[in-house]
Amino acid sequence: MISRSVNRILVADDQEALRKRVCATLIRASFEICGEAQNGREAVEKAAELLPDAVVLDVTMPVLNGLDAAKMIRLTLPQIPILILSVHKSRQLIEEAKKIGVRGYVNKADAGRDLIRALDAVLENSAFFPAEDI
Amino acid sequence: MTTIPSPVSEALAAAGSRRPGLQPGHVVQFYLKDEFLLDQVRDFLGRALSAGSAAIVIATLEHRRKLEDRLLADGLDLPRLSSQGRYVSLDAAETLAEILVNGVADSGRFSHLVGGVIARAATACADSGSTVAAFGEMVALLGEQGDISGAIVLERLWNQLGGIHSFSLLCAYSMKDFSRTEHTEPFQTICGEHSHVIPSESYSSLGTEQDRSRAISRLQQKAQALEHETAAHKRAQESLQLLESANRSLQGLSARLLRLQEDERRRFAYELHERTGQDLALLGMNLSALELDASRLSPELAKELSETRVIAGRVAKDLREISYLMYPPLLEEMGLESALRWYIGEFSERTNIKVKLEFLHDTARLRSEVEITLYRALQECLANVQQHSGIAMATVSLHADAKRVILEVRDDGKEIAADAVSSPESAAVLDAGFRCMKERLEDLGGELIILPRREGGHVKIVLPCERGGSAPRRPQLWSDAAERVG
Repeated sequence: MISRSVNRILVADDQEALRKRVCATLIRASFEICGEAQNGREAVEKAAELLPDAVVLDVTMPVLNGLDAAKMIRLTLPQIPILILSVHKSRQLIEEAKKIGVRGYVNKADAGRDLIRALDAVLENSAFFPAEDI
Repeated sequence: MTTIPSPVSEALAAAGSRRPGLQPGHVVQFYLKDEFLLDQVRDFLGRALSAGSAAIVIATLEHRRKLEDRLLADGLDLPRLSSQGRYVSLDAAETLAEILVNGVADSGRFSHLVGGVIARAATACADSGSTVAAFGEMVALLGEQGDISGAIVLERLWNQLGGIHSFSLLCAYSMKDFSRTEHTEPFQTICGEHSHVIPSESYSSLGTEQDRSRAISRLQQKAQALEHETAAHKRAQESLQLLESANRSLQGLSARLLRLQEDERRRFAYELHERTGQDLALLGMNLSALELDASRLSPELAKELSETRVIAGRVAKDLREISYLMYPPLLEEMGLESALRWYIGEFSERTNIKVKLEFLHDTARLRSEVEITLYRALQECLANVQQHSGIAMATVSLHADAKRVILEVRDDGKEIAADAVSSPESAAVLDAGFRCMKERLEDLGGELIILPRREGGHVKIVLPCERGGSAPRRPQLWSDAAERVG
């Protein structure tokens, strides 16, 4: 079990209610929310500014989508693990995320069950991806 | 020598005149066949020469030879007449070349050259007191070359020369040089430049006045019928133009409707997936959060909470599938390849038809409109495979170069008729979706090709494309959404 009190998380989602729910779920699990972003570009900027322990990224966001934001973060801050949290359920999307170097993928519909486990995994330098039956 | 005078000779006969032979005049003979013309000229010149006059021929080499054969056969001593200056034969093309300046007959050159020939011939036959007879084909050469206005200029020069010298001139035009509607006016002008007009052999060779009257009546009826048909043809052409214009408008409208439909599908899919779907995801997350405190609830309530979360998850899944079918998921973010792979996977699972996908192009993005059109085309092609081919295997390939992108779908089922999309009748057998696809492709400058195959179907879709960069484009939709979401 890692010490959650030191894990600072950046959460990026354009849907405020959902972002707040994710933040609340993470806080409840003793993570610290070091920043929130409403689009991909803001996520890239805040990642560089706040140097979080992990970034949780939505995919479909204005200005810059989550996949492109992940690419940019991986390019400049490769040590920061990235977890994709998306409403999409697509094998292609997961494969694309893996190619970029994203460490984990959680479908929003399964977030109640998987989000904390996935975040724990990526912070332990492990991968977390849904099973093949997606 | 013919004994019955030809219409030409009759026209120029010295009726009521004390002078023998021909009278000055300018006759035009229209004709259908060379042989008829040559017989007319033979009679015209033969009578003049027999009467002691002089004859000038300015004609094509072929006509001059055939005419001389005829005159010799009539017993005329052409070598002697020629040496006396009473028979002059000139080549029409060579003479015309000498009088043309920049393609137009020059008055000075014409007067000098042709006027000189006439003056000398007139001197040679001065003792006979008869008029020089001339047959000219220079105007006919111009007419044959399509230069009717040049021919009219030359006719006028002949008329001017008639004011200086006394001669009877016979011109001739083949009726084939006036076979079009636009020839009507120049034809009338040419007739107006002559003192006598002789119709072609179909009329002028008729023996009696009664026959000619019948011929005129027949021609008048034909003219009336032709006029009526021309008017009907013109109306039909106008209707056809209107129809074509309406058809173009309809095609444009159809393409616009398809674009609007696509925009609407995209909007609905977005609303379902990105708004309602996100709300359902939030609902699921909230229910999950509540479940963490389920120990504080009664067992019944905890069970209902758990069931509610499962139902929310199921609704979210159904909603996602509906939105994916309405508009390809992640097309904007991940591009065509990902969208096609997703659709093919979903199609194979749904239909049990195995689809092999071959991508033969790089990952550069295509225009948004091109990508969605190719995606829709694939949907239609695979739907066609499912409905008509009755097979379990299909191959899809996508390749692109700098100017075009080509999508091909092959299967081993029933063959699609090659003309199925080209003829309206056979197009009727195709699904409406397939025909819409054709219109949609054509709207983007592309085409749908049904390739002949011994076994199975082969559809090829070609679209012109400008290659974009690898960076995904930002659809207008997201900007709208950003404003809504705030």
